[in-house]
Order: sequence, then structure tokens, then C-alpha cells
Amino acid sequence: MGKVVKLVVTHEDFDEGSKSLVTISQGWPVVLSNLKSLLEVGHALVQLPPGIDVRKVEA
Amino acid sequence: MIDISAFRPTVVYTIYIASTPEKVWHALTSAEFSRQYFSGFGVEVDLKVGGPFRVKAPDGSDHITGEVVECDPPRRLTVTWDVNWPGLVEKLGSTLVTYDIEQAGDCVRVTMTQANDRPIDDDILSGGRMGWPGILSNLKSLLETGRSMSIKMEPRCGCWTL
Repeated sequence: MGKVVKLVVTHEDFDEGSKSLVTISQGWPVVLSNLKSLLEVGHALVQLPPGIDVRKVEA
Repeated sequence: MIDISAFRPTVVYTIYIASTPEKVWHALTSAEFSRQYFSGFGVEVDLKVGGPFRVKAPDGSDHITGEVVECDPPRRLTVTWDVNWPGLVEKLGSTLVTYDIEQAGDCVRVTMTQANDRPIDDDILSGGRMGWPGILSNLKSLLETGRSMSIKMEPRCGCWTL
């Protein structure tokens, strides 16, 4: 796509009513937004928003 | 005024932007700004409940028309978002688009929720699923770097494709 890269992340196979799906749905936008900032402006967004810790994903 | 209680989310996209809620709000509601991240399309909106909302194509025609349903600057804007393709609104009913803008640490979380009041085919929804990330990624680049990316987007099936 010229000088722009389209990245699609697919994360699937969750159980019905999965708690981790909810957590992960909040987590991916943080990680991918940080990645985009890092690549475009040279640094990630300063901090993760409060209440979101992508390291703690409930099984 | 439209009854929004029957609407359910059909496309949701969240992105974090190093900016302020006020700047994001302005970017989402001004034609001058939107032309830079929305393929030359100008957003024109009278920011009060019931006020007209439209997105003008580069040729000046109304590509999307609607009205303001909720307006709480700089936190929340809901509009009806009806794409002017022959027969589309009759088939899909009105589409609601809500922007939720929240301070999140040192950045801003922007959540776009597209909602419909009936089941919508995946091939119709795929336009929004591909189009919204393009539009909002461009918005993020514009606010963070001062320039938008050159993502080439073209209307297809009343929605957007890349």
C-alpha cells in the first residue's frame, strides 16, 4: 500500500462469555496504538491508561 | 428524533492518540481538519442536538447526511450517519455513529461505535470494518506528526474500502 502498512491482528477461538476476550479487546488497541506511535514518531505513548494492564490476562 | 434504544453496536474501533480531548473533538467535527485525514471529505455539523450533520465529498456533493443525536463536547458525539447511495438507507435503516473521547493517562482514547437497529450482512459491515481503521489511523498520524498518511480509500457499496 505504498508507504503505508496495513496490519491486521486476528485473535480468535474464545469461549462463549470469555473474560479474557473482554480484557484482550481493551488491550490490543493500546498495544497497536503504541506500536504505531513508536514507528511514526519514535516513541510509544507515555503510559498505559489506568485500569488496563495487558500483562494480566485472565485465563 | 430517532429512538436509539433499539440500536446495537455493529462495528467498534478504539485507538489511542497522543493529544487532548479538545483537539480530537475539533478534528472530528471540522471540515478543514477532516479533509486531511478523511480522503478529502469535509465534515460539517451544527453541534447541537437535532443539528444537521453532513460529510461532503471533494466534489461538494453530500456523501453522508444525518443529524446530531447526542452532543457533549469534548466527550461524546452521536450522529445519524446515512450514506447517500441509492436504496442503502431503505435497506439498512439509519446508522448511528458515536465517538467517545476520554482522557487516558497522557493520551486520549477514541472509541468509534457504529450501531444499527437490525441485522446487517457481513459484506456491508466489512466496508466499515476496513474503513474506520483507515480514517482513525490517519487522524492519529495527523494529530501526532502533523501530517496524515496517504491511505487511498474509495467508497464501495456505500461504505469504504482501502
